[in-house]
Amino acid sequence: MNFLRGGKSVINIYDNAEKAMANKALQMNLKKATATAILKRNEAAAISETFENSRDAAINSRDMSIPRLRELLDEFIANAEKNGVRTFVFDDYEGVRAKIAQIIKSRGADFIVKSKSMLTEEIELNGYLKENGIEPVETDLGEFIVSIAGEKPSHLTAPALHKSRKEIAKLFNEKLGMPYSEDVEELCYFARRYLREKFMNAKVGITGANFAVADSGLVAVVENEANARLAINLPKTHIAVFGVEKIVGKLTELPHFLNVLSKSATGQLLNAYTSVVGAPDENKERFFIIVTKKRFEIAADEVFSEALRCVRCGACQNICPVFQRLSGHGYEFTYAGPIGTVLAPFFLGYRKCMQLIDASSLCGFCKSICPMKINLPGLILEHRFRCGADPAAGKTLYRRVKKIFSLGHSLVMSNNYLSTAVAPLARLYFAAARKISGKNYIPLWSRFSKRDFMGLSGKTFMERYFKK
Amino acid sequence: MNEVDIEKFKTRFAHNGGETVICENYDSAADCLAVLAGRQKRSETEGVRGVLDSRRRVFLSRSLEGGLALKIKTALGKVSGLVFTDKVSDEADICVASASVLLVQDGALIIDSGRVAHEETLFGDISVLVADEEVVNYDNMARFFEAAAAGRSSVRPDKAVIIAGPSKTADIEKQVVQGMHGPRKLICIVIKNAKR
Repeated sequence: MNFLRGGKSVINIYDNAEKAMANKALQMNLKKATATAILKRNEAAAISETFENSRDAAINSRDMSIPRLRELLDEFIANAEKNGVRTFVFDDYEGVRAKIAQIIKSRGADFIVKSKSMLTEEIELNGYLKENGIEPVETDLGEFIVSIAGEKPSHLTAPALHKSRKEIAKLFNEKLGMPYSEDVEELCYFARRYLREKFMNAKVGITGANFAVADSGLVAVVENEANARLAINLPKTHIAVFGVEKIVGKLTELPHFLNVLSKSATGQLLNAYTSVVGAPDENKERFFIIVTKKRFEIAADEVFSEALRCVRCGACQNICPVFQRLSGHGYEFTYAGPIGTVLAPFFLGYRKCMQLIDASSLCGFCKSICPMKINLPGLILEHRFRCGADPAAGKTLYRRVKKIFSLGHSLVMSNNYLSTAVAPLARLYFAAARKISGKNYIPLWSRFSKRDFMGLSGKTFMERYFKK
Repeated sequence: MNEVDIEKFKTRFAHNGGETVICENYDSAADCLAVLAGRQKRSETEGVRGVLDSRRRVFLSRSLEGGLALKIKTALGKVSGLVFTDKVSDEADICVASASVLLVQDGALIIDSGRVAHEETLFGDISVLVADEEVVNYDNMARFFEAAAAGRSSVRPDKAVIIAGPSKTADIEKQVVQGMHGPRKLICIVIKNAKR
């Protein structure tokens, strides 16, 4: 029956949700982690006098910069080059990966230290480097855990959110030879000692960038562990890889972004370390590699350009009732949660994402918590409209059946006479179905939803009202 | 800096995981540091670096104002079992360096990487940043970057590292562990009368 849901080439949210829901440990980790994150975010936002102002200023800044992205990119490159940083721009993943591998190889490095960067996940850098004989060493603890587990990160700011301490203890014991311990401090300090040696001997360090500033050619890297600072400053060569959407116009706009990011991502007044990076130190070199893939297309889209406001804080993921149960892996895309649902169709196409865009209750929590006030439910809804019109996705059986159900539902529910006439028939049907199958059976319903159909009340509201 | 600012900084810095020690002058700052160095026990640091030896090593950054460095050295000289090290590395238990900017509202400090080598705030078990009378209080990041953009800031923006707390992680079951890759503790010694 998989063909009814679009076949194997589609991100199968139904199966992913079923698997995730069956994993009790995962559900517990997700619940704990997301609830803590929201609590801390609200606390930090309440303490700060500047949060709301910064939020508005950051939104304003992004709205000014998104339409001028090409212009800002040129300005950024000119200023970065003036600072002695070599810059490269790529629109394709292959180009970025090849350039990074070429830099690393020409420096005689057989391994690199790397801090957390979603863009390197997006371009699948680690796999490419391994294929080319270069060992990528993830140094952010969460990324380190998922990399040795051979998995992908499941959250923007907490990559190992899905793993329990027991699983990590077992992993460290089996893969790294650490004596089995479930003590979180011991696990962290073991990883610290293991990674410190790598830092001390690394020739090349790779980081992402949270923001880039056009008028000064600088980038800002935000973190809590100090691994990015080590990756930037200890190796002789530093490469920062980031998307063009990270560019903001002026240096004076940067603090607003730093302000909203720290509170929304980790519930801190400010992240432990913010490095503003420009000219390389003496005897060192620095590269900025900028990826433009799909970004200009999104920026040019009147409706979706606001998605580029995103600062990747992960707040929308933490609050999303779907993400809280599905986890990041269920989205099968680098960026999970509501923002992932909005970005995915641009990168993967509607055909592959036709179930994904349905994986939202459109409750609006994400919009309310988003520091950049992105209308995430509105954009997801817009995707559903566009998906219907998409030649590859709109004509699939999955979308057609959905459309028939939707049309039938809206036809009945928008007409009082019709709904009054249909309701007794439906009640009769469900009474018979319950008798035969024990539930509110609808043919093919289980192919489209993992939830049981709620059925209909014995009497309509009007019937009960007039009886009273 | 006035009392209100100092108290606000202390509260917010604590929110970010840092500790603040307020001192009246250089002498009391040196004494505070001696007390701090004296009370650190090896057992506290073993988890981070494994068991070394029983001596405590202190690194003093060249960024510290000459008089203060001398005073600290004299005060620490009275603490038994302390050794000064010229090389900043993980061997150091306490690294003392100077902060250039205080951001009261954000509960953070800015170091000038042109004066303070990155290693001086990344290595060692405890990082101590001294905010003496040379420190400039910009209140919040926005003011600092405004000044930096206008070329009026005391630290060049490309040399600025904003430090708001010790190195930490909450990647395992959201349990916060300090000292993930950098110092386990971050202590700011504020010497009053810092000019605005």
